[in-house]
Amino acid sequence: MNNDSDSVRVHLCVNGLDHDVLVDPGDRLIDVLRDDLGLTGTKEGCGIGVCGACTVLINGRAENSCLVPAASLDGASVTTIEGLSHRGNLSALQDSFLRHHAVQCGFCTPGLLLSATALLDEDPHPTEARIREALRGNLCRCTGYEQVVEAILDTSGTAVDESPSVVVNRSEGGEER
Amino acid sequence: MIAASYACPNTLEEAVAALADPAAMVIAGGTDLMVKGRTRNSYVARALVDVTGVNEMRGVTVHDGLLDIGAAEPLASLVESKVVRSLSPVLWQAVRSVGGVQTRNRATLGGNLANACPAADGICACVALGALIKVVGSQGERTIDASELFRPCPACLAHEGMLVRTCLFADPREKKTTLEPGELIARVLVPQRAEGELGSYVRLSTNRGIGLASVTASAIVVREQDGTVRLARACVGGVLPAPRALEGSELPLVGTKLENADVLRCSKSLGTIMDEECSRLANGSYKRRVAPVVLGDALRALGQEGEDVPGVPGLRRIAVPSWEEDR
Repeated sequence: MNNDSDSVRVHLCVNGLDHDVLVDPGDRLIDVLRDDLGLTGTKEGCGIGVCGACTVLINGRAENSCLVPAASLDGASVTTIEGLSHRGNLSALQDSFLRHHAVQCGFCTPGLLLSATALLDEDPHPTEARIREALRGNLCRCTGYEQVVEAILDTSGTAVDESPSVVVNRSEGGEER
Repeated sequence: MIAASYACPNTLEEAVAALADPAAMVIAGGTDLMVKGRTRNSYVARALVDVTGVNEMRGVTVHDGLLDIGAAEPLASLVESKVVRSLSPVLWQAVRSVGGVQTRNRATLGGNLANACPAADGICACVALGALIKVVGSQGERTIDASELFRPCPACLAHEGMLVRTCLFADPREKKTTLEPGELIARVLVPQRAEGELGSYVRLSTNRGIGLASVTASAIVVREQDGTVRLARACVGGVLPAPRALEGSELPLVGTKLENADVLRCSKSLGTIMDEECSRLANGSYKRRVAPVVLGDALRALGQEGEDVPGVPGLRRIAVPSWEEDR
């Protein structure tokens, strides 16, 4: 905290809930999520945007929360790993990760799930090549990625139907590109 | 990261006004700046001006034979743009080589240029393509050639590429670009692909991962009906103290049929330039050997050994890059 700095009030919609948070100008989104909002499911690995452990969805698109200034997000909609399950029910993708044993130590899993969720929201039937491209920004030391890719392939086409929370949390004002 | 203040102007006028403060500096996607601010208190006294909401710096339009790209447009939207892919396949290939999906959703073309890392993907393509940079400041606007945006930075050579992830200068504008205080990059104007023009973009990175490239090369040629090269231009990054456009005597291809001997002559020419200009290059002996090969691959992609990239007219690639041939 720096007393000389001008704090910024930011309105965020996180996992469907509205929050008004006061952030310092250089605060990172990951710190706001973990320290201010208590959403510790988002993990920090490298802190320099290489490992993807801290991936969250911002207005429906996967971004590294360790590189995003929270002050830039006024009005944004953020989905974290806590927002994928719905009233205790895992999303179809999360369920598929379990069934395919796409999890070992679990540190990279929230990031992988959010990268995959962003992909399936955009393209419900991705090719394996597309899946691998979407996961290039997520490092996993345990699984060797094979089970992860299988889990995503298995979910293709059902993810959007079976996980309403994913759809609910998409930003209404998300930019069309 | 600690910074003094954070402003989000909506118009170019507001952004330029905010940059009049000597403590102000531009932040776009922040994918480089947030890394630099992480371990050092470089930005404690800086007033950050976030330009991603500036309307005049967004969107992609086409006019006067130019692809007019908003500097604050995220790279992902350029990758997804059919207009960018069809009118500037080389730029498209370069921006889709940047980082992973998460980085491209955040990073901008203007930020890639202004951060001025000599091995940046976007820079190599913009310089090879002869892009024009529209710069705006309190004195008005001016347009400069992409190759004139960068100042030679010997310090870059000593640490860039494979050794650290990004440049250590908190504000690269001061030391590495020709931007004046208070100026920002508003738009990038890329000449659209000419009839018959072929281009390629090749990057060498440490582990084919999402990290910064160590050496980049991009090449453009236009050939006559009989295969004779009429126009040739290239750029290499991560090799010399600034991204370097190669043409004329430094890229002796015009009038040739782009055969292997002609490519070899260009690679040798780059080797000579490196011997003269980059004695302090980090990993120098390695880069001295690979950079001419990377340039050679970018050129060979345009000739008989290259192949068309499916679905992207004008973009060529080499089936097996030289450094993978013996795997």
